Amino acid sequence: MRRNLGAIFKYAFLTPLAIFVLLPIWATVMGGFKTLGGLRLNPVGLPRTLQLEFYGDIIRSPETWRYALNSLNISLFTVLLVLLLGSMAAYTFSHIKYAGKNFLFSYLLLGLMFPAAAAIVPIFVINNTFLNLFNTHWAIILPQVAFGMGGAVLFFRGFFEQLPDELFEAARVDGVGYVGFFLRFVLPLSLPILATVGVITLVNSWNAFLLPLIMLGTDPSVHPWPLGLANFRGEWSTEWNRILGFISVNLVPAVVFFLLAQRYIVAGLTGGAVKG
Amino acid sequence: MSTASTNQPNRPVRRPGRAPRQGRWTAVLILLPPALLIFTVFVVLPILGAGYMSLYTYKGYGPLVDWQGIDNYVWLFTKRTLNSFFEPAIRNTVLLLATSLFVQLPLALLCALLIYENTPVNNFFRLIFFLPFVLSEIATGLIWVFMLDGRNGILAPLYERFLGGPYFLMEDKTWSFGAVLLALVWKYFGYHMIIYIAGLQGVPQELIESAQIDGASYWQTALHVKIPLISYAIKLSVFFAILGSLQVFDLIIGLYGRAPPEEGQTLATFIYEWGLSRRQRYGIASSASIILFTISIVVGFTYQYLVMGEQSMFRRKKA
Repeated sequence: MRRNLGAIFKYAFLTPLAIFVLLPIWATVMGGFKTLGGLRLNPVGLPRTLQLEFYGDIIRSPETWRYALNSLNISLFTVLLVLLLGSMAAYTFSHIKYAGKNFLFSYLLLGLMFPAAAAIVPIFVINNTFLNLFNTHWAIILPQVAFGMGGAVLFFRGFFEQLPDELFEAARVDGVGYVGFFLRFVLPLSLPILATVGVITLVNSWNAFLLPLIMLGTDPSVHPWPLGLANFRGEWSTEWNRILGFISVNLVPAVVFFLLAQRYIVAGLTGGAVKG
Repeated sequence: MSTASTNQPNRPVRRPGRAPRQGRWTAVLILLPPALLIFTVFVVLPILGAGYMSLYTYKGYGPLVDWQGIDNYVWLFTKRTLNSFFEPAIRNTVLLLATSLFVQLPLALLCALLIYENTPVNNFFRLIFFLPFVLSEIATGLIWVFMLDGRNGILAPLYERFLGGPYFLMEDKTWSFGAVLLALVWKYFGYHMIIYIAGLQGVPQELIESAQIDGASYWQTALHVKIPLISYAIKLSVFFAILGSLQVFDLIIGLYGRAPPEEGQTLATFIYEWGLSRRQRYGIASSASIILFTISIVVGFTYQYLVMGEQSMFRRKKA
């Protein structure tokens, strides 16, 4: 009896919450299938008649694909550099003894606390004036890599420290040096943590808006998708059915990726949550 | 540095048989500098630069000449014109912080307690609650603008019926920020829930069972056994919630558009507005940056040392 009451309470609480979470996403996807008038009469329900022209327009538009390609370009290079530079630095922290190691490790960890928003004005000046990167994707990639470094190094060091010492001893007997050991043993054995850090970095970079907004000019041909969303909203202002369709097309890769990589996303977010 | 380089035959080997010492510095000098360089140039230098620029009037080009001392800071706290934005920015940041800590986290904890066990139904709810996390904040903001829209949104029929006409929350000076708080909780409570679930799944089953044998009810077990045992996960999620709510930006732009009104400002949008968007007052924006930076660092370090203590990421011992 008590168990039943508990279950009733549980689902009476969870079901409305699930509806609250899903309803906006549902309404967004359905909205792209409706005419503007249809949307006004029926904002939530299934479309009375399926209007495919709005999604068709969005998918046929080269603009959509250009935003996607720009996003892909920025996030893939960000992920690649975070994984490469982060794992290299973390390996020196986990496997090499040298003076100043703990200080340098803490120095990189500071990045976890530094708010990116506080750095945007000088980053703009540095990119614009000194590095001449304004309106290039590098102006976004490099700061993203820098701000991702602290978390990546923390994760990588923790994982590398768990690798068995015997492995290192054996490699040493065979005359393998530090760099060789890193490339031939550490990296191949670290695929799970590389995937975890990579997936989290990818999600962050794919969704980033602030840096692209600042570093790119008004020419939409270099804009990634989040900027594209803002542009599209400006372009169609009150034609909500088109805007919703455009958002939905933008949601597809995110949701597919979420379903495929859920395990790594969860691992990346909860790594360390069970420690202590 | 070069004196410490490799293969010097007469270098003493302190612990033969442990880690090899040859090539140590070469390896460090190959592997470490790229990360340090990029971090220094794009994280540390900008913060120092903001500190420097905050003492000048700077237009974004040419040398810094117009020394202001602390005038920019004084200006932030004394300027009371309608468009100065700093006061609402601080107020809204506090609102974000409070909502995040006192609405979002309890909701996340309650959900985690209800669905942390691995059953198909629980996994299904977990998937749903966590889903908004992968959406961009811009998409989240736009979706909620639609949901709350006075004429097209899902509440439009209710507005029509109870208010006698369309109501546009985002244009309501008093209440529009509520939409930001709502969207924030919608997007992020699942993320915190996932952190708690990971913690709860690590709680030994025997402890829960022995509490139940002693006659503890479900909620007593939760309150006295489970929650204390996931204190680390809770401390961690509070840390991320605090630092995250100090720099909300994308969500604001998604909900209010590119030039948020006074009542929609946060510290991050204030910095953008004054430095990069329209006003080009780099000195003012830099002072606000330094204030944001100082709050984050002070709160972050105090939290790491006082609350996380031995579990602080800066103190974690080698495993």
